[in-house]
Amino acid sequence: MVDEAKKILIVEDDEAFRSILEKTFERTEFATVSAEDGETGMQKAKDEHPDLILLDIQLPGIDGIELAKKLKEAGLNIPIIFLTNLKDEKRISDAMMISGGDTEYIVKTDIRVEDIADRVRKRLKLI
Amino acid sequence: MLSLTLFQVSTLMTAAISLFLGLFVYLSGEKTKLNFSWLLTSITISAWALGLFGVVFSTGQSNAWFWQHILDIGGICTPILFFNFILYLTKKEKSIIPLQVFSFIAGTALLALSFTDLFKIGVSPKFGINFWIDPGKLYFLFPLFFIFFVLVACFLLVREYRIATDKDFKRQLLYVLFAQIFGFGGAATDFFPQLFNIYPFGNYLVILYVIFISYAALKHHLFDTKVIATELLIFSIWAFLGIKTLLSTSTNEFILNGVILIAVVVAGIMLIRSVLREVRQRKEIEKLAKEIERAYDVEKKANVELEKLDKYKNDFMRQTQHDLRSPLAVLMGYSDLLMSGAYGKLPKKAKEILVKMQDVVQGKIKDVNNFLDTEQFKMGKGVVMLKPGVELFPILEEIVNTLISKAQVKGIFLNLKKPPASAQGYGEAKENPIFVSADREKIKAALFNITDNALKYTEKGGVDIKVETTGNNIRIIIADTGIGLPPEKIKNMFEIQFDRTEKAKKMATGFGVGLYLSGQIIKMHNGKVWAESDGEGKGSTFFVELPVGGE
Repeated sequence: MVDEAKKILIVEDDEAFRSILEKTFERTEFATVSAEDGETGMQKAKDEHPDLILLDIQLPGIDGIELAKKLKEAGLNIPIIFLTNLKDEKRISDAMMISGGDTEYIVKTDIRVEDIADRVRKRLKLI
Repeated sequence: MLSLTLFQVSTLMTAAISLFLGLFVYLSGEKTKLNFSWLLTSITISAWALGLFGVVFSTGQSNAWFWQHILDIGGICTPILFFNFILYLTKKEKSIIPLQVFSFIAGTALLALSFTDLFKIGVSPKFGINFWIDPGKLYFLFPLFFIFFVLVACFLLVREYRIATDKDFKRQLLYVLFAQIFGFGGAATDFFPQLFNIYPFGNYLVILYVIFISYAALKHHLFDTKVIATELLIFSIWAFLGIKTLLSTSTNEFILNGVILIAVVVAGIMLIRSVLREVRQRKEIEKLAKEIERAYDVEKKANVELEKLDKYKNDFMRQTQHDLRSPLAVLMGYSDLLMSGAYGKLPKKAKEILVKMQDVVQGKIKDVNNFLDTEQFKMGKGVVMLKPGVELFPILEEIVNTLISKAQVKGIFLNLKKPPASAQGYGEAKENPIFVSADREKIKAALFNITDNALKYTEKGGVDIKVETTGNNIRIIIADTGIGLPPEKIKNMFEIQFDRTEKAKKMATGFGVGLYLSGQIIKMHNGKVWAESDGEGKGSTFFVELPVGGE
């Protein structure tokens, strides 16, 4: 039996950074789906059954934290790694509360692209 | 006969107390219009009560007829004067002049009428009371007049009570209102026998009016009577003792009485002074209390303003962070992808250029991080959120991956020593993960800063990073072969400092706050950080100690 590729949902409004993430995962064993705002992200999370969501916190409309809340309410317990440009303690601790302290976040400038895939693998307990 | 006696006693008491109160307030208090109008009101109430007492006490009709005139004069004047007193009390004396003029004209006309048989035709026994008025054809004007002015006064009091803010004043108004309701309400029942053939049961209530006003005066400083009462008491004792001294029958008695008089005069003056002081202090305290209340209001408003400003500042910081980091993250991401050949294989020269570009971007990212972190720490928001079970080694790997190209450009090494392999692994030896309780991004920034600093001051050789476990602590050792540290610098290595030496300027750029922040972050992880060096030119070693925080 062949394992199906793990699917990553990328919710990121910054077009350039989204394409960086897509390109990064293109070269790995992961498949990706992308969304540029919270609403689309919610829809894709329901339709595409991703194994993990890379979720930008600052999004137009429904923001990342709001979206995480909605996913939880909808019973979709998909692991989330938040992406942020902020080191905003309050917002990040809000995010932590939603997922019962199990949330990770990545400050976009503090990580090199090759490390992002590692973080995802680690989160999915693949390594 | 008891009821009659009680009736008489209550009217006599009303007359006496009312007159006493009015005189007392006016003679010893301030000579204000308010106090004067209170005196006039008291005199007419007293006249009315005395007249009433005369009428019901008289045994002969002519005597009763005389007292009935006094009763009517007092009765007609009272509502006018009381109405004017209320005007002064509510400070409306200048705003309802027409009504004031009308009260005097109507009152005078009614007074004139009261001596004719249109007002009263005689007095005769009623309800077991000796004598009571037999009304004339126009007598009904009196109750109308009476009720009208009492109601207007009542209305003014209630309105003033509702808009008044001063608590003391409000209480005074309330007592005057109660006094009015009982006093005038009770007195109004005196119209009942001649109009409805009903016993004037409410007359007893008039005494309550006096009690209420007295209570308000004494308890709530209606006329600021505390000083007045003391003065009155002292003066009467002085007068009593003075007369007693003058009436002494012998020299010895005169001397004795004189000494007592002088002693009492001295004591009296002291007593009055102390009361005056107390009253002044009370007023002072009231003033202070009001000022405090005002200051508190101002502070509350200021706090709201501050919160608003704080919110603006936070929003601004958030926007700034976003605006500064977004383009840097994109630049770094694309250049990483280019480097790794994601868009096709690059010639060697292009890769070299890319590395240079990445160094610049990395430098900017560091500057931005330092700047923002410092701002956040300054705002007291640099709180770390410790999470147990954070794996240390991948953090160090990420740091090395980021800084390796910088080391390569400088031609120095940057090594991360792998932790010892676990003994009980099957087949392949697996790394023994080391866990700390940490805020992953924060501790990474701190370790990054220290490593970056080590690279910055190393021109030959390189930097070694290794991890040791010592008891309950994990020690991260970052050793360089750089310029070393003079002993005086080792101590305040992790304080805020701006490195402005020429040497430092030549070698690196930055804000110079990185190490300070690193120190703060490590402290918040319940850790320790220090540096050691054998002296200048002999390299430096940085130690970071964190408590074990496994799963």
